[in-house]
Amino acid sequence: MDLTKTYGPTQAAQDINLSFEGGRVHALIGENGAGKSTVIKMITGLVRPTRGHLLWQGQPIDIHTPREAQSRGIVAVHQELTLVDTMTVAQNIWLGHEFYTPLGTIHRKELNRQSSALIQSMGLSFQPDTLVSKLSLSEKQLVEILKALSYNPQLLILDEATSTLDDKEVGILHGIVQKLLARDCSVVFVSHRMKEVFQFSEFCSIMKDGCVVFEEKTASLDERLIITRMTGREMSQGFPPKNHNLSSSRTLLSVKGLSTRNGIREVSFQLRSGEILGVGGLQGHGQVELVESLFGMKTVTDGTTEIDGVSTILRSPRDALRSGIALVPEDRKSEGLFIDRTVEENMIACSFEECTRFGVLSPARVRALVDSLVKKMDIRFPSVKDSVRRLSGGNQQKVAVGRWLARHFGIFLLIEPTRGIDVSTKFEIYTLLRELAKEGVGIIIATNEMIELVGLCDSVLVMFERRISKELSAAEISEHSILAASFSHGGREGKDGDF
Amino acid sequence: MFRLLVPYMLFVGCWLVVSLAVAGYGTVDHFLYIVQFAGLLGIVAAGQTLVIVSGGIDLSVGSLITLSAVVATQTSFAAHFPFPAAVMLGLLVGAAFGVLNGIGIGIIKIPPLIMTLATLTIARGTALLVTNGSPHEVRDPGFQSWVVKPGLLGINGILQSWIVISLLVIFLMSRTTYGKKVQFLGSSPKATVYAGYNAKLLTLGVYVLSAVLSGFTGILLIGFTGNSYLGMGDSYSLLSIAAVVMGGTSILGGSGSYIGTIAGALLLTLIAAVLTLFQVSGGGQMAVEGAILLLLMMAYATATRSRD
Amino acid sequence: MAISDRLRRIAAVTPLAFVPAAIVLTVNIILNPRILTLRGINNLSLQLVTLALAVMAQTMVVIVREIDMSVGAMVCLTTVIVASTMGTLHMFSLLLAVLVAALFGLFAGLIVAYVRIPGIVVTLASSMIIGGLALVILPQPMGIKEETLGNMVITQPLLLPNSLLILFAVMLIWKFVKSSKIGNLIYATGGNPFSAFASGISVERAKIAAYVGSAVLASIAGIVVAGKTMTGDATIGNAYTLSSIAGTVLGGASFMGGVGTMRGAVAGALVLGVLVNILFFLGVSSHYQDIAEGLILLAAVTLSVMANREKV
Repeated sequence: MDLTKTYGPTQAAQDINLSFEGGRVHALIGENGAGKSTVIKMITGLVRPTRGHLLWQGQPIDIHTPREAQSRGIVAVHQELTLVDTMTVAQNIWLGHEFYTPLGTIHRKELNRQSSALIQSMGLSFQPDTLVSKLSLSEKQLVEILKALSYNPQLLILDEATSTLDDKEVGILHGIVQKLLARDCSVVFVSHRMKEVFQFSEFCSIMKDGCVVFEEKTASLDERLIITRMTGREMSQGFPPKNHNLSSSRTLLSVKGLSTRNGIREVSFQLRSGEILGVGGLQGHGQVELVESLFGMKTVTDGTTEIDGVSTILRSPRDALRSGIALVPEDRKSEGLFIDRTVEENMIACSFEECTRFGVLSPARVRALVDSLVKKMDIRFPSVKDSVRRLSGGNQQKVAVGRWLARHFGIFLLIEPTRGIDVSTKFEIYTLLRELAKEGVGIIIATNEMIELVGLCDSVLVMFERRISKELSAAEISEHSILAASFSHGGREGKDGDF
Repeated sequence: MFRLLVPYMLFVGCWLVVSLAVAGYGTVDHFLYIVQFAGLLGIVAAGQTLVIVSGGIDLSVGSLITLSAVVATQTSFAAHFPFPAAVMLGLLVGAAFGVLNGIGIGIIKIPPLIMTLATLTIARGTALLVTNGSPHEVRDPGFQSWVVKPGLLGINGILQSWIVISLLVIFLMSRTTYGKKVQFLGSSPKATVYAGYNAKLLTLGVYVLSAVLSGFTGILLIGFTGNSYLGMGDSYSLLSIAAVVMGGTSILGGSGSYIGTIAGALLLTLIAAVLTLFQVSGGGQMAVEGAILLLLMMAYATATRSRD
Repeated sequence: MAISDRLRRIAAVTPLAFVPAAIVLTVNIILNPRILTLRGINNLSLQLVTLALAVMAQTMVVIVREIDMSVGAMVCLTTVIVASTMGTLHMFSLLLAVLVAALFGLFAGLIVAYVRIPGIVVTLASSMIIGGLALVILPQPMGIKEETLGNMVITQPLLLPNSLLILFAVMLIWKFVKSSKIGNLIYATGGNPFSAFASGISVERAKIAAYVGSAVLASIAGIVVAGKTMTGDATIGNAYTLSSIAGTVLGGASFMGGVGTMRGAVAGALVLGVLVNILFFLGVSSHYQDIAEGLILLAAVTLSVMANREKV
């Protein structure tokens, strides 16, 4: 039950040397874009490595398709669900490897029976013929896990599979994992949740920038060490200086008791002119919902929002734009850009007024606008007429951010603005944001990246379970204080690594 | 680029072959004769282009052609409206259906295929109602001769209209905010929300434009034939879609231009004319057109694939 | 199992479309009690079975998130083939017609699945080819002289009309197909193509199967039409394309894919078909028929969209 990997495709992952042993849980951690997904894709047959090989139980093997991986017992559970909503739990669990009657039809009863057996053996209580569409998100995640178990895995990969589960359900998963370990199955656990990494795993590999940088028994690690290894950089290096004159700035945005449907609960904070406010905490605890609700994308059920002292109701992005709020969304490919249109078109997409008269575009003004933005952001591309799809991730993000800069906005919102971007571009964006702040713009960044929260932000809101766990002023910001508040409300002060 | 060039090249190629092979072809007069039929299709296809580029589809164009035509003839004949007023009324009725489409698709979010299918049926029924089953002729010699007889610059009313409309539509799509936003809408509907566009207005606009252009085609048709009859526009529904798609516009929306559609309309019309010349029956023409449509789509699909 | 459980089970599986279908049928019976006679049932059945088969054809394709614009053309071609080959092939002409249809379906399915052109355009083109072909073979309608066909379709040996038996036979076969591998393929692909792919299901095979199935069903509809009218007519089926789409919507199939049953399809066809009867008996002039059909379709789809919106 050994799997060793050596080498891998360039750029995404390099010279990976990992080995997973039967009967053990092995954690794989790293920032977004560190290469974990690539490694998993190579193991599960979604991607072929350009160099190197996989050793399965001592024998070198080649995996071309997910099917082949599955037949060997290598199964992965991902964060994105692969369930068919319109089918039942049983149908989903056995999708692709159903039981047939001699007649050639699917044996419904057998499907249900086997599902019940599997469900019960894992300590759960689903009804096999429930429609998946009727389940909650976390229940669906559990079904996804059951689906993986139906393949009788020898190597189970849990790729951020716990992000939608609550504590009780994580406990159930823990039990399932124990049962698997007893069968000498090997489990690979990929997660951002430190608590679970410590709870589940015996061994830990840390990836950064496409390489495995550190490996050690989990018991001998602590939070701080992991984070340092993950980010590999001294926190304060390279960031533009923060704003220390905030107390004298005027308040741009004041939010009191804001709650949204299925989103955030009783959020209150203030944003001042020239301030960069970070919204952090564990992924999925309401950060995105908070920022999107400030852009008018959520239904507000309670609370007030005041912009420049004026009480405002934001019912749509158009409302937000009219109130001087702009948003750079999380997914630049499907939300932040018109991915199949040209660079030029994307740059003017939100600033038509600047280059039109009576709705008619003036090519000269378009060119002038695009040129000035390109220069300001230092974007690299072959030609303005090229599709923006061809740009690198970093340049794409620059377009996504830059397209708002032709107009003046009082408040600039960004969600995970540097995800999947190379380091130097990240810092270019940080510098840009600080410049904007100096001009008086108020900036809110929802981000997972610790170094951004610590190095860039003037203040940080840490969210936990959809509420603000703690508000940290400049002096209070540190990875420790952020992490402490990420795991419980208010963040208990304690020794390092003690949660 | 490939997608734009191919239909034009096919058209030119076809034209050359036919001019050389057949006596009477290749003259300017004959060219204009063919092109005016392409114009009728082309005007409807202009609206269809906008709709498809925005990510939708409009099946009701055929019925709207008929409806606007019969409303104009009925009111001018039966109610003795002056002709221009009758025409306006015809166009207004068509536009009303366009508004209906826009509301259903843009606001209620009914899939365009089904919505325009419903309006197609309702419009057809309305036309039946308006004419009571027996449509009338048109009696406005001035209008009819403008439509048919060569006038300004040696071309007739249909071609004049087509040129003006073509220029307007091309201008709309390439040089106006509205046109750009419509293309963006078809390209990435999700991203338009984040960019703060008013997708409802954009959608309403394209369907109204499509309806008005269809109505206008209906009016031109009655000028052309002097007649209106139920079902006169029916074939245009599918043919306009064929023209748009043959012109290189993606049925899924977001890419394409009217310039391609013009080529598509020309090509379809030329094929029909040539086939008629060779005395191929109506059925045979349809089959050949379908085959060419299919081949062209397959060519586009493989070309895009090899480029990636 | 307790009776209430049994009832609940049945209720869960019955498509919503049955309710308006039942209502509409009841109203029709009230307005025209003659429907309940043997003759009445036969006539009604003949009227509805063809539409039901066409709606079933469309439903199959809609489940895999595609559309089939060639349903009507296929009906036309089938009657044409039957009419023109009945003299030489006798009843084997029926087999020929279905085979030809299946081939066209395979052709369309292959292009949609492997060349990756959206089904709406492919079937648009194929409908032109098929319809055109039909006109070429039979530019003018031609009578069918073979009595056997007419008897097969129109007569009523027992209480049930033959046409209805044909429909039941088709539905029985479908029940078998649905729980087979192919049926599973189709529903999974429609429900979530990405998930299906991730679970090793061939999305391509599902689409090809759907288009072949649709073509075959449309062809069977054509056979019933041929038997009913004893004519081969290259334009007789054209209205079926749009009606099949309307019936599919009324039958509760979702254009988002993965949802749709043949029972629902039949119910949808029933609603559409019987409504026409009702309007007739209410004395509504046929002038209003189109408008009424359009409005009904509009109402049905609006309700469907509204109902699904709540979940967002």
